[in-house]
Amino acid sequence: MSFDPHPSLSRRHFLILTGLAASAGVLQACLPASTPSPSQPAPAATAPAAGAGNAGPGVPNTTSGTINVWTGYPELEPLYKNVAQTFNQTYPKVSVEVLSSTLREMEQKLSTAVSAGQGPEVFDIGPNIIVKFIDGNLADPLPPDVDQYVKSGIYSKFTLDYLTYNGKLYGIPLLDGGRDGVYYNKAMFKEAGLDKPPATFDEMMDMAKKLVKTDASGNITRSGMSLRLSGQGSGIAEKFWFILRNYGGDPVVQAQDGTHWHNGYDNDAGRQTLQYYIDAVHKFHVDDQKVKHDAEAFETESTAMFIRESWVIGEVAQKNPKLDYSVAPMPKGPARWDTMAQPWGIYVNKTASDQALAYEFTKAATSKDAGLFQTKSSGWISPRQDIDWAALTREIPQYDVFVNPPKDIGFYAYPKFPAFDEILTKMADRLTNAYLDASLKDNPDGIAKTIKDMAAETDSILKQANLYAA
Amino acid sequence: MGTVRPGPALSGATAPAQVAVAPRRRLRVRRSDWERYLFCYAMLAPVMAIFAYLRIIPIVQTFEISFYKWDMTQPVKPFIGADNYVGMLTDERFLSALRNTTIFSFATVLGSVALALPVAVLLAGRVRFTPLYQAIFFLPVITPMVPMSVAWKWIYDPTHGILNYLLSLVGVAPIGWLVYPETALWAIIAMSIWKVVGYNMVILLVGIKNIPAVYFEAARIDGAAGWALFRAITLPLLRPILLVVFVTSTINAYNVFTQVYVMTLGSQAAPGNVLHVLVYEIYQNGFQFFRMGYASAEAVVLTVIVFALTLFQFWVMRRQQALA
Repeated sequence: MSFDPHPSLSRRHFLILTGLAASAGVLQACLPASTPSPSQPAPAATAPAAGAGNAGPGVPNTTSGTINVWTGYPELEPLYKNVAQTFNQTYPKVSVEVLSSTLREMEQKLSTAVSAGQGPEVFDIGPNIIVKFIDGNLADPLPPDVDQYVKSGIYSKFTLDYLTYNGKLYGIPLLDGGRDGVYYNKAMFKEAGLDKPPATFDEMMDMAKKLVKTDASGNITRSGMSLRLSGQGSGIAEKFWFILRNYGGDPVVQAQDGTHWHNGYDNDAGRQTLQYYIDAVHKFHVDDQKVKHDAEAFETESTAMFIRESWVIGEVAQKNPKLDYSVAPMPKGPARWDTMAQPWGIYVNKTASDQALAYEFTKAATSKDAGLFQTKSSGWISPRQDIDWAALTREIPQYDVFVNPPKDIGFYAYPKFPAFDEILTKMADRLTNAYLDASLKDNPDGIAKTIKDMAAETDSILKQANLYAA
Repeated sequence: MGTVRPGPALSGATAPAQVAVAPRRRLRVRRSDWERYLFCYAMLAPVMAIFAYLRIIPIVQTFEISFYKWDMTQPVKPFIGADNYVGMLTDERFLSALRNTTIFSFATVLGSVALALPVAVLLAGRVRFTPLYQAIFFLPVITPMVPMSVAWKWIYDPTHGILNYLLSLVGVAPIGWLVYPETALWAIIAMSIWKVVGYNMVILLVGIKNIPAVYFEAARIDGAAGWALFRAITLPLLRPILLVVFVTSTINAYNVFTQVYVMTLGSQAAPGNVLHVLVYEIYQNGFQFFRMGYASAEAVVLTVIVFALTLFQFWVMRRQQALA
């Protein structure tokens, strides 16, 4: 029996042991993820729980800390900074940090942060995300005093109903993100002998035929109207919905049970709307995928008219301030006269340590003065009913359609379930392909099949989300 | 690291006897070596820990999440077995993305190597201003992808793009390069080849310059020149480098995202799912629709595809080497 004076370990054993230790480490690190975990404990917010309003009238409040505000609308940054300045007069030791990004990025960032029990003290976000937070118990209803303030008659019933979930309000209405109008170039209309904007979608097509310009080869150099024909994302389907709605359809409609949904466009309204687009591109040639589109086309005078929200006014002022244009109400359809109104809320994070202070800030951000400032600086309309818009509309008449909509016009908004974004995005994919398909011209069967296939996909998404009922 | 030096027990007069009596297959590690290993692994540990935390654990978790119906904001994340994988088989968007990504990858890899190889061979010869040409070819590689994609979007613009302008000089009507399904994917492939060809050229150039000159001299003495020299000497000896180029290019190509995302963004861009690629599909399902479980399953499939293709390329190259 030999005796080895040097205690040793074989290299193979050493490597095996190292490997096992590393694997154990990896598995250990992975284990928590395998079990659905409730929200992690909230981190300490930067503001100490001092409570708002602990000073008497006229006395600067001694509350200190930071209110982080996240927004998916970079154009709202001036609003929050302006509100912060006013807020600091009462709360001089509270700093307000604003973080903005594109809406999609903000949705991702906020979803990740809030579901991990983190995130900002205050954020604004759309219904598709807040409904997830509410379902996941990641958002609290408004405190009684704020709830009372919001219901004091300063917002319309439509707005409050829309922001109510399970009978409770969770945020304060901040903006109306959907109201649309027809932007039209007055000089081009005059040149074409047109003295008024279109009142119906049929009129809009007829006017577009007179407004379109082509070169010697027949290529469009200026579209008669700019429809949303291509690109990424749900916006294409949303614009399709502008017309679909007024022809009597919707992407989804509620089933009879009131809780489930099914597609609302595998019908005459859906087929007529697609027909409208196909006619515009392939039959009457008033628009084309190759020319510029949307606000950019309008600002560069590459189109005579298009339908969009109020934010375009601010963009035109920046990019082409000399543009001679006006905005008319949404044209009437054969079935309805509706425009989208997409109430958007501002919310206090459940994990914010000083809830009262955060709510004070959200109230300040939605005050009458802030609403006027927001509308003028960002183009996004404040939904408050008690704002006097006279000064604004005198200065910028184009706002009139948005802040004083016709009395008879109706409003509609996105249904409040998360899968709706997926429905619109996938509709958009199919629509862009359909708009390119010249074989759909004067082809009712082809149009019917396209709509049927698209509607089947919508229903399939609803089924996946357990939301479908015929 | 890891070299085992002969210790006292194996040295001197006792060594032959020990070897004869007990020829040990196991390598023994002395205490001093053990301490050295410990030191080395201790030094490596922080890096390995970071690597595990940032790479290994997410990969393992992605695989795990792929078996769940996992929504980031929902507390209940039910286990659904292989449903996500089964769903992919009938998901038109996923299949379309897989097809697009495969076409993109094969076209980009083959196109970039086919262009980079002759350029590298030419620049390896006695060409004046070689460093200048290398810099010019390499320039697209070092420029960030986002601004380059925006620039190419302008190049392809149907109404104001320089490409259509140049074509108009010879009577070609304006083409919506990024608008129509027939051209959109190929327009992005062309841009991607332009972006990557310089990188492949540099790698191949290094490989060619590392081929010992004696082989070329011997071949020339035997009368070889031009194509024969390239086919008989350059190409066979460049095979290991070509393998590296093919493997890295394939992995990069299957991960295509930025240029597709940027060039299809906006109101005047490519039509819907015509340009869906796998990473975009994963991004959309995970971060837009919040279907993280399904997105994870797609990511696993992408990993398996890239891994399988890499192994296949290794196998082909080794087989060719063996035959050679």
